[in-house]
Amino acid sequence: MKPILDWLDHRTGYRAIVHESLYENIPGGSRWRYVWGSTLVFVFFVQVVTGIFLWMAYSPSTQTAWESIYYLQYHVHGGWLLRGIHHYAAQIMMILMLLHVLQVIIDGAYKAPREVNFWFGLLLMLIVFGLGLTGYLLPWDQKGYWATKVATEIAGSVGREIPEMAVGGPDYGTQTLTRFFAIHAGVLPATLIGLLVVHLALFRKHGITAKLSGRREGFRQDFWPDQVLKDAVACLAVLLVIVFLSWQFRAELGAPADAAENYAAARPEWYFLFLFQFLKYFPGEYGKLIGAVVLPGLLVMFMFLMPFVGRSRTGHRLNIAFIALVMVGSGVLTLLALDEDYYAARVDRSQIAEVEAAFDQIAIDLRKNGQGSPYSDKEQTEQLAVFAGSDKAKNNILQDQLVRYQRYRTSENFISAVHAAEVEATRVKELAVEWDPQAEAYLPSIPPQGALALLRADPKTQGPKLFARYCASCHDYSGEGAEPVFTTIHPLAPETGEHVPNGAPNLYRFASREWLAGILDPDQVAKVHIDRNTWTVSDAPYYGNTNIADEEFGMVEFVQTDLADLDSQGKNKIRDIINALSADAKLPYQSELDKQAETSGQIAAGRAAFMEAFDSGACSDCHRWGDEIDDGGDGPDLTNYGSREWMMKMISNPEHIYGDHNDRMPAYDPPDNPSASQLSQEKIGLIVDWIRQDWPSSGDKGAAAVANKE
Amino acid sequence: MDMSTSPQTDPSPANSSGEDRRGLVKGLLAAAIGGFVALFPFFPGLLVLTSPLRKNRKTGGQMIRITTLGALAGSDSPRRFQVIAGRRDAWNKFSPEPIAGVYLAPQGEGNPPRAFSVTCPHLGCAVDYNGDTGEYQCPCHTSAFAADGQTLYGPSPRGLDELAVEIRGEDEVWIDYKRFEVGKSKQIEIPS
Repeated sequence: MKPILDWLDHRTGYRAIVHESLYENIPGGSRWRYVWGSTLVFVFFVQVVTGIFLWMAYSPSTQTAWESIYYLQYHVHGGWLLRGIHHYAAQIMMILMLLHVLQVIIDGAYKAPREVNFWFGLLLMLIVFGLGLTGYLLPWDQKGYWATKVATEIAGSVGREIPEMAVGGPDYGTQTLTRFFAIHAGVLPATLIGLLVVHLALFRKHGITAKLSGRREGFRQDFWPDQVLKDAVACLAVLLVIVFLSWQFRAELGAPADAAENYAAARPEWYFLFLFQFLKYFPGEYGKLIGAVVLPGLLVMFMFLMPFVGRSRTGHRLNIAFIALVMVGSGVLTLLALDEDYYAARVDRSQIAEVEAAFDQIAIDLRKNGQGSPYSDKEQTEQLAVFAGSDKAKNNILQDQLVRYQRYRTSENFISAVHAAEVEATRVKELAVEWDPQAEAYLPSIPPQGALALLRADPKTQGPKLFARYCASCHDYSGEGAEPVFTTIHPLAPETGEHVPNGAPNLYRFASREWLAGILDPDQVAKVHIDRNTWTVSDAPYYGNTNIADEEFGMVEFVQTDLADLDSQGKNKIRDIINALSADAKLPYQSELDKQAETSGQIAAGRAAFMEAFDSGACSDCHRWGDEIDDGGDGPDLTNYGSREWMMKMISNPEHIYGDHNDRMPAYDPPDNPSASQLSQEKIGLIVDWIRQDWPSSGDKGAAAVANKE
Repeated sequence: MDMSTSPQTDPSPANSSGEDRRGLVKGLLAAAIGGFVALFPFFPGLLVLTSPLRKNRKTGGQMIRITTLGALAGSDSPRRFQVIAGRRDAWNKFSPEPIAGVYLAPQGEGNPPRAFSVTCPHLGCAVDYNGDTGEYQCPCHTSAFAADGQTLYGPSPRGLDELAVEIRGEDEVWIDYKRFEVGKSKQIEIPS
């Protein structure tokens, strides 16, 4: 062995290098306080190693970035750990860097002759910030997308060219990912390595800034083995923290980025939250320039000047005071940002009870009197002043609570946005897998267009959004088991208080047996509750709130006369009609019951009963129901009632079903008038499928299990 | 964190053997812990890197419809057809599209054609049928195969891989699509 090593040493001189690096002399001996620099180098090493492996898994384009990360995280052995380590090591690096910088400043290690090395350290710090910023975008999820967009817009306050170059055009897209990826995995790490080499070389040149307190005069130790051991133990501790975090709190992957979908939960990583909060205080066109570029720039500039400022004892104290101020300031800003976001989770609602009650009353008055209300067209502050009238004390309480109330509302929106984002993220992971009978496993099955296409075509998540936007101003969607996705308030019309406002049937479980039983129930068909205290119309599950309620010889009249006081035979008839009609809807959640009805002959009985007269007439007198039942009545055509096709037709153009009986339901996509179209057939289909609860892999426990695994 | 209270190494020669021993223990510990933390980041990376080897895959091929007998009539020379099938690639699922090629060689009226994979068993280039010479020729290393798949000349260790043919219904030609390791003298199926 020795001759070989001698040969190698002769050719390379490696022994001198090893000796030089291991036997650096440490005045005063090894210390735990010297480990921070080494841990930083170690974490960077971890990032390089895990980063290169992630590189092998990552595919930077708008159709594959999210998908490749999803695949790595949920379908590749060890993928979650690899990504988790990279994710948390980045954050630990910020903390370690902070400690390192603080130590250098407090110990005065920036002073002569180490000024240049201090500057290199500052440059390294900026590079690490850049790595954090660029890395946040790469998974291409909603969170990274929207947060990074803000960051590039800030760069845009200097000049439009900067974000355009970074983003590769005016809009975020594949070019943004390829560029950010090259910057994140190539440019910045290479620069960092170059600077780090100089940083370490200069560090060795000047030696450690020794702390000699408590040490014997003249006592020295070599770097090896004492300090190396301490460094290694510190690195081990750091590694354990990173692995523990990766294991216990799996790195997050939100829903795929969607420029068309607002994302109210967008926040930068925690280490940039102070800047995020800071920007709230700088309004106007130049606000972001001052808040995010000029002031932080001055701050960094001052840090570059620290070696000169710190020449005198006072100057050094000034530097310490400055960095302490910056630390406390950023800390406070971070806490403020978190507090504003999670205010609603922390504050007891009773603290805003008075102002909430006041706004409820104001809302009622506005509904009652519309523009005639004294609150009309007023800011909340003024509304409360009017509400309190001459009661000064009350006004003070209300105004005091108003601030809290507004913060509460903002925070509530944020928290619900976070929740909604989690729901979408979980859902898209359910949709991303399909059962493969050959492999007998759930395999990732994302279409080549990307996972966003899955989410956009998903009735379960898109249906409620579209319903809220286009339908919920008239229709309710509520009942036991319904997700409380929106609240519909039907205010009474202000002019008279008599006029029936918009308000159409509750569509929760539309066309199901219960729903039909309700509309054929004399007590419920025209049920409506007008509350003159809150000035609202509510509890009108069927026709109670529509013009159909007042039609002469209409449906409501028929139900209330012919179907009232039925004998048991009549009740059976109604039951059969309901079962037969509801089976036409082919609702997925009712398919078992429909099958039973078919085999037990209830459906045939129902179709027969449809043509049998009650007191004044039969259903078939007005309604067509397939080719066999067609007596030329002008009531809605019930052929395939409640089915996907029927509902699509109904929403596209209700007059095709209701004819002249249509009350105020608009035609959302009239086939004969494309320019009047408000909704595409695809979107109508999403609403219909959602109302019918007809969506892929609903209640598919296997898919959910795969999505939640790892 | 301050270690000033713990026993300190002393440079005086009287104590040197004890110091050496302590130094050795510390050195070994430092090397062990340092080695562990330096190697650990490779662990999840290598897990990911080697994950394809641990994938649950099956042999046995896949029956795929290629064409009809009618399309083969009128000529005796082999013709190239596309193998069309759905496939998965990492996270993607693709609807059926061409995934490979296959030669169907007519065997005369009343007999099913023989099917040969286009993959050259030498190093995996795609062979072409040359009607002039009546040979399958590999464009890469000039291996050549007879119409029945036997190696004529060149470096290929075995003849063209024949795939089982099944006639379904009236005249549908189906093949049992498989892939084999190249460069081996025996056929070894690659599981998918």
